[in-house]
Amino acid sequence: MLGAELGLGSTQRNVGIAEAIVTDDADEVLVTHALGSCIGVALFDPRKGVAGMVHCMLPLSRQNPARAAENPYYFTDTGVAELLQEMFDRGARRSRIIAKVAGAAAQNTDDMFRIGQRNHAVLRRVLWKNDILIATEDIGGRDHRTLLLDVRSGRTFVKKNDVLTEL
Amino acid sequence: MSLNVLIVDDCELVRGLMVKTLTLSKLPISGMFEAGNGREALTILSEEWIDLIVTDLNMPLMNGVEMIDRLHQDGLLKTIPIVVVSTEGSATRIDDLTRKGVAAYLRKPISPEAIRDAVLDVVGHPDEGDWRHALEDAFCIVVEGFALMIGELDEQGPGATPQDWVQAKLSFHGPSAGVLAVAAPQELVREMASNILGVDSDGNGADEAAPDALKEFANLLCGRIATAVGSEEAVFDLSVPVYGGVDAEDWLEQPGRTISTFSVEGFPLHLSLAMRT
Repeated sequence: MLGAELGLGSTQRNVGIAEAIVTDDADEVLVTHALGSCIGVALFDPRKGVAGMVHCMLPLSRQNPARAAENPYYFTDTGVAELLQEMFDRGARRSRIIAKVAGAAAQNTDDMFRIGQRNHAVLRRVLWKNDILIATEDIGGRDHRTLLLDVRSGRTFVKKNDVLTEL
Repeated sequence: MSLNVLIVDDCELVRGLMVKTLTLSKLPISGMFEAGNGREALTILSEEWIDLIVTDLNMPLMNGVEMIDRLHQDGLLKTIPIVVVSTEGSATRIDDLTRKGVAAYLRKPISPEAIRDAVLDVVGHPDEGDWRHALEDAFCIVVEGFALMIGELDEQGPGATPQDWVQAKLSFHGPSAGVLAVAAPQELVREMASNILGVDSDGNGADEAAPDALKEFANLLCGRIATAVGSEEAVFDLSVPVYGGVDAEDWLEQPGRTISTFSVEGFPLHLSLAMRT
């Protein structure tokens, strides 16, 4: 299992594409794979031990409101807002939340749609409006990434080209 | 150690963005000053002690380059670190400003995170070590000398917050000014009152004396801390402490203050300090 060698939690929970998980189970490690132009956000409130992760595909829900209503996590604007709300519902506070980000890679050589950058811009907008600055991030480039968040410690890691580094 | 920051930009919107960014950066900021151009900035600099300047370049009346030139000619003011945030990207201009002591040059548009990182690089990451030590000393002197109890700094920070919390709050004015508040569980305050009076903690006297005990406790702490952050010679005026019940969770979340948590014979006690200029 990813992260076992680092002494992280024993239960890995996968956050799928256009999915989110919020948990306070200290034995869990949240993981999301295959972040290309998608954006992965790891949130952690150290005082409450509440952790959340989301994997969003496209920047704006305006593109397809029906799909956003069905699954807000598909889009960065609605997905991150929904994740934050779930964190708040579990007792997390804006002032304590540590936000770490991975993904937003440039997928196409012509980069016609700039989806990665747009995902990142919209993410920053949502966090800024919630009074949260991004603590650290690993974004851009062409590589696919995996994002891990250890619920017990709040430590966050990115795996890129088979190399695991702490965010 | 806390900083007075001067933000210089002719656009009020940008100054607002800077204020929010610096507030969210968790820097120990005691005062935030704003100027709309270089001339206003120089006026503020002649009246206030400033530890960091974040400035634009293109401004009316006196632009940033002119302001930096003036500061560069002043023996004292030229030591203030300057972060330039500008639309201008000329390498010649950047080289020139760097020679004049500009510590960081950021090009707009810029993310709040990049501003935070640059400012932290310039002023150094907050190290509260010395300050905490002085605070702990003051606290121990008062808790042992007045409340006859044993207390220590709780490095873990705020833990669970049971109900029935009370606080005493007062302000101090002198060479520096601020507001100090002490929040503690009612039970601890009753215990303190009984120790001060020298009566059993289950007696009636302790309940009645509890508000006064916490107010006096805050008063003594404030006197100690004001001189610790100022100097031994400095003269401070303290306001009359105000006492009341609080929601501990909400109390801990109020922004703009430094919170220290102490453990007093098994009870938590929080001390908050907000410095202002």
